[in-house]
Amino acid sequence: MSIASNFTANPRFFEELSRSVISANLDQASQPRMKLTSDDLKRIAHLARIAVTEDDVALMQTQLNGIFGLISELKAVDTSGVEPLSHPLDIVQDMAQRLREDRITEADQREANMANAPAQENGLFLVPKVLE
Amino acid sequence: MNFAHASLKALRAALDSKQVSATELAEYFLARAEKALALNAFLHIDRGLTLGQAREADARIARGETTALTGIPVAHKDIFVTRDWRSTAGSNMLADYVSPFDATVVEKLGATDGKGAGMVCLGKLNCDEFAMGSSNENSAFGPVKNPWNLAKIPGGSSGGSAAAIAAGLTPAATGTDTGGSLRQPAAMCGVTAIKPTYGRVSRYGMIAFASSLDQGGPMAKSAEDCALLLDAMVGFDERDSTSLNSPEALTPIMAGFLAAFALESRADAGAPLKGIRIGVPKEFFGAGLADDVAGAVEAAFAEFEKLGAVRVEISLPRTTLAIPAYYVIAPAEASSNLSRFDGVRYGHRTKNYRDLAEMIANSRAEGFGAEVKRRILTGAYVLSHGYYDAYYLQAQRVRRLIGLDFQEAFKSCDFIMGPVAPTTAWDIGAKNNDPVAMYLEDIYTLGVSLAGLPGMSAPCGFGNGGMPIGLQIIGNYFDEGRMLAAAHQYQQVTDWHTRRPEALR
Repeated sequence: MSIASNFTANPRFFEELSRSVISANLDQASQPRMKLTSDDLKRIAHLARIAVTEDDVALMQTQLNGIFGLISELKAVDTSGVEPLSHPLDIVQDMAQRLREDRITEADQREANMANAPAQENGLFLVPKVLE
Repeated sequence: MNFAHASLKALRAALDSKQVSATELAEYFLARAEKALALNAFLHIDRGLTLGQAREADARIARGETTALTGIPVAHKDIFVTRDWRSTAGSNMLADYVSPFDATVVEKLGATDGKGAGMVCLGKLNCDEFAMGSSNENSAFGPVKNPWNLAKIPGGSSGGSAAAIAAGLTPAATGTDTGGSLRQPAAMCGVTAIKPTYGRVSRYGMIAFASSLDQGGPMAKSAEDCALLLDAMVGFDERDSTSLNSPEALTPIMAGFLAAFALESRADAGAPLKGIRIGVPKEFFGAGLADDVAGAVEAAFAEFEKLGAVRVEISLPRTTLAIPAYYVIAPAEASSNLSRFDGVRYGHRTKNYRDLAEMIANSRAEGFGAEVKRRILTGAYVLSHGYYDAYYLQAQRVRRLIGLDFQEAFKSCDFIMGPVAPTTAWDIGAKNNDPVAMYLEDIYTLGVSLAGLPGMSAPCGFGNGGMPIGLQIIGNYFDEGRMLAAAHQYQQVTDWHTRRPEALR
């Protein structure tokens, strides 16, 4: 018998998955699910250097809380003794970071690199005055 | 000969026998692309540039300096930077950006210095902004439409690539895959694509989204075409710090492709896949998988069994955990990578500012779209003080467990197979305002990305409303040649990969 025929497609699966994720986290009294306030959102937006309007804040807050509900599922996983994996092939081989000799390898293409600058003068990037 | 849907081998033969020139082929595909503007698959076409490359390819062919791909057109996902065409990443941030250099992949496939494969570039293909999305609706330049039904999404983020291949606007395309962005649009448009082992294709000149996950790969009409293309794309590149140079990483793709299952000698023509064990993860067939997709994938398993393969039930117990792990790691890396866009050196600069801080914050607010902002903010949060250990490091630990699950599974099978996506392509607009619903659609592709394994999609049927369905084939590290060879055997006995939308035949 086929595996697929053991299951009937459930269009509400994802809804249920996210609900189970959320309820699992509400159950964890010691680690309440993070719930983003509008002040939190403004703080992160500042950290990320993205200007937000009051209208943005309300919508983003709802959407990010949805995303955090999803990722909070990670908290319930027992990972004691497991090393974080940053390079995927580290699973099968030792992935030492390759280093190169410390010498100039870039060709000088100053003009080409400056061509995309929004504002420039005398071959320098122009920014608003920082020091009075 | 219908060039629009011809294989790369057939185009090679036509070029070699002087039935057609590279210039004529380029003209032919440019004309098709110009007639299909409604698909919104291309972001930048420049006839003069393309025909210039075609003339160089013709000169190379005349000198007898051809590779398997010389003179054949290709189009690049607009995540790969190109010196001549604009490179936008589907973002207003880079709407007018012209790169000072070509990406390694563009250079390797291209013709201009006489060293690359000699393919002729047709232009740049639409995609989700900075490759973030599963529907191509996040492009700042409008969504790509699915050639099978213009009201449907083509999948994402390499949606322009998939739509262009399905519509016969180019015989070959590049794409990138961070969490499924080659495999899922290929499935939804009925074309073939492969994401290779992490580190095999250089990321140099691929506009970065999540550097520990991003991999470039080819998209085309068949596994054999993808093998030819991937063979020309892979290789060590000292300009990418994660490019692999181990002997297994340097083995040519075509060597593996031709050696597998006696492809050249056809010693066992009746059951070429005899003894090959196909692992079927039970977690890929749970609730949420649409009936039409499950049925088509089941039928594909039956074909593989007819070819001699045996089916083995396996378990990938952390399949659903790949979603939260990915949506911590990818946004974290994105928030770091996209910090370079500050309106100073390149990219959009706001007109509305009083000081430097405001200039940067407003430039980013205006330049980035909603999904990119959501991911940057999510990433900034999980990396911020007090959350780094609980979310980012925890996600990386789960990532290791997911990778180990795959290695456990490969002890009992040669390939893992299942669906690419839970459903066929949905209506444009249907999930636009619900990011979490969109993320959950990536359930079958994210684990492969987190583990850095090669994964491909091959057409395996049509579902409700005549929309294409893809079979996902997952191999162990560096097994791309054999995966493509297995898919090629399947494509010898099925014709799903040759089906094309009626209006675009």
